[in-house]
Amino acid sequence: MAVSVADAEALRPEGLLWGVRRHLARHAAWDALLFSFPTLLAFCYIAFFSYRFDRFALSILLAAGALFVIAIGALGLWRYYSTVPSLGAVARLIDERTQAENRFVTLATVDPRSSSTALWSRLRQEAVGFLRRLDVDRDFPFRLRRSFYDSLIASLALIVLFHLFIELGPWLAGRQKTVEDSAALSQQLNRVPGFEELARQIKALAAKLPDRTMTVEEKRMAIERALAQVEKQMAARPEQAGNNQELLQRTKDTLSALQDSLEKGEERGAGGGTERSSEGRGGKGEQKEGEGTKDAQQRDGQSPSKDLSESSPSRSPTAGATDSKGKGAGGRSGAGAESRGKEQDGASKADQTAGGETKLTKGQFEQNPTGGASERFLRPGEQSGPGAKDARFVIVQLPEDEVEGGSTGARKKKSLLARPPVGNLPLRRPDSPEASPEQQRMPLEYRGLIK
Amino acid sequence: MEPKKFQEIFSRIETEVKKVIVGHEDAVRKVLIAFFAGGHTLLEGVPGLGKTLLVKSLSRALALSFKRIQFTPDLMPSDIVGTQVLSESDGRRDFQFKKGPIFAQVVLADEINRATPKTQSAVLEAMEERQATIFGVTYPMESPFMVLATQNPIELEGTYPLPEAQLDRFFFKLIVLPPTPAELTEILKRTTRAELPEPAPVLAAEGARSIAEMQQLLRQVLIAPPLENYVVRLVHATQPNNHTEGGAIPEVKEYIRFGASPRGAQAIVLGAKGNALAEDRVHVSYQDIETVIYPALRHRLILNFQAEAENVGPDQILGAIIKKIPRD
Repeated sequence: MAVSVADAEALRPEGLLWGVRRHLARHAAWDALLFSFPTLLAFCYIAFFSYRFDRFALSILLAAGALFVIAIGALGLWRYYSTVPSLGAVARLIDERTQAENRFVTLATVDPRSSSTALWSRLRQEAVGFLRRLDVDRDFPFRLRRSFYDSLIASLALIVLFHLFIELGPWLAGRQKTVEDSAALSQQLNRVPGFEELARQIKALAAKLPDRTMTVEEKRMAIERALAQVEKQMAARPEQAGNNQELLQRTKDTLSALQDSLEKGEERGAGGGTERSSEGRGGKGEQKEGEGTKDAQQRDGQSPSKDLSESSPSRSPTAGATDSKGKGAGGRSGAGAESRGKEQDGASKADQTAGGETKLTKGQFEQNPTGGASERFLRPGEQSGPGAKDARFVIVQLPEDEVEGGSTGARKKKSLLARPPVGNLPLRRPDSPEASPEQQRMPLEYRGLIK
Repeated sequence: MEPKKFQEIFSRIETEVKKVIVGHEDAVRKVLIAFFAGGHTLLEGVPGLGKTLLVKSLSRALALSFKRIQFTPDLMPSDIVGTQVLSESDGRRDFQFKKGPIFAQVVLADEINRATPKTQSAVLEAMEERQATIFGVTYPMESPFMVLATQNPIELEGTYPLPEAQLDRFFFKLIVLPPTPAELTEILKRTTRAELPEPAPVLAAEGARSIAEMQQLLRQVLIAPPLENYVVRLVHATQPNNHTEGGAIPEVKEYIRFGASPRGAQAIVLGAKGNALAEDRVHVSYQDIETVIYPALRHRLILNFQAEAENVGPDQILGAIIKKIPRD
């Protein structure tokens, strides 16, 4: 455009003004495009990622996409029209480049009909002389503006934030997110031929998980059935690579995560449900029979079914509070109280022995920390086995347990209170022979609060 | 008239005046611009700088009638505009109007601030209306008509500073500065020899008609709306009670009591047009505006006591305004 257009429009400076304006309008269009492009790419990436991994439903993505396209289009148009210079601004730029002393501004803005013809034609002639100094490509080169870099940085930040959200979302959303994942998985599985049965199971599972009337055992069974179905499908179609295999693997991972969450009792909602179901059934257990339970049964000579129900609170994967309350409920129902007494006996024995391990303890407190005190209580160089350090939960004796129960039960409880499990061992009083060598200065009024 | 011819005549007049006046190129050019814009000029400078000589030379170069009025405290208005005198002819006695010195094409009002306000105001009507009313009869001035007034910035005792209304009627106020050593040397050379230089009349042949054409051409010079807008913003910026965005600039707020009137904006535009024609251009540029803003506005800014106390002049404030008001 540089010389040829200038030559072509040499006789008409007004034509050059329009030519330069078109040139700058193209720059503005590129600028608007470059301003919008990174954002558009970021959105496409997020949409693709969300669709590919079923983060959002297709309808939501389509609606969001339509809205985004409209918004980005409006933004681009706004950007374009705000950067396209007016004819006066173009004339001013040409004046600056050619040092024409406002000749082009005058030509662009003064109405020739209200001006002297002689002066107007003289001005045009002068402007033609200045046109030779102008090379449009040289004088008005395209440059990437800061807005492009800003948009690029913002888009990258958006993608990073999206991934962070994806990574942290389940952690933030907790169990509800897992349930949502299960539901989404079932939808995704339902679309794959041959996975309908599995999809149905996952869907049922997703419905069961938030149901508080369901026991943990029932939930676990449902998860195990679904897992078995997944493994069956994986074994049945090992040759299928790509999406299906990946989908099955994700399903398996999700189910495993659900199972873990049930076992660990991290989900408070699930724990509450377990607690209520436990109480509603008079302290009957929800767990399957374990090795330790069998030991206890053999020792006490009780029937496996009874023992299963009695030992269930100690095997509960839920938090200690749940465990404790389950026991409390069991105590009120008679059989549970007997079982609890046995547990307490076991705990006392475990506490009294040096190793802290007895059959009863091993059976009933499989997850309970046993052995010596935490490492922080050890002297330099002293070794210890697994102890409080590896404890995954602690049992807290609530004050109401002390006032509950009859005369015999109360004594047993008091003895339990006197000797809590090692894992729950608080700091001894400094004058106690069992006191830790570590001395911690603490106001005396706080000592009474620690049990 | 062609712009080229205007520039040619303008240059010839400048050349002729420069034969007599050493230095003061800017003052000469501005006086000429004011003349072709149809305005009057106030020249301020200490005695002996050649103010009167400048005006005389100009009138001679323009081939126009010239009168000089020395303003004194006892000068009466009738001494300026004229009066009726009893005359006798054919045995009859009549009152005849005898025109005063104001009835000339170029009038030098020397030391105008020495006359009383009453006498000063006698010049007002002539300057603005280009006519004088004496005993109920209105007499038009000759065309072209220009008043060049001088005033002395020192010896203020016994003077009557021009009222704001009268100051506003002057198109430009020019400061005549003392000559540089080189200029003084040249002045000595020219004025101390036997032959004194005399300016030749430039417009003797063309006469007043060509001056009118030149004045008409000046008003046709093209000025772009963005430049007009710039003038408006500059003049508006002299108002201390400026309520537009950002408000008045600090210098204006601090030192100005009253800003420039619309006549100031008119003077800037016409002066810029004259400057453009003098530089052989048919359009106004930003540079033209910034060149004439000082003589066009310096006498229209009424400064407050603080400015006088701190010795801040209008030129300093105008400089700050030009710096702070963007062109676009």
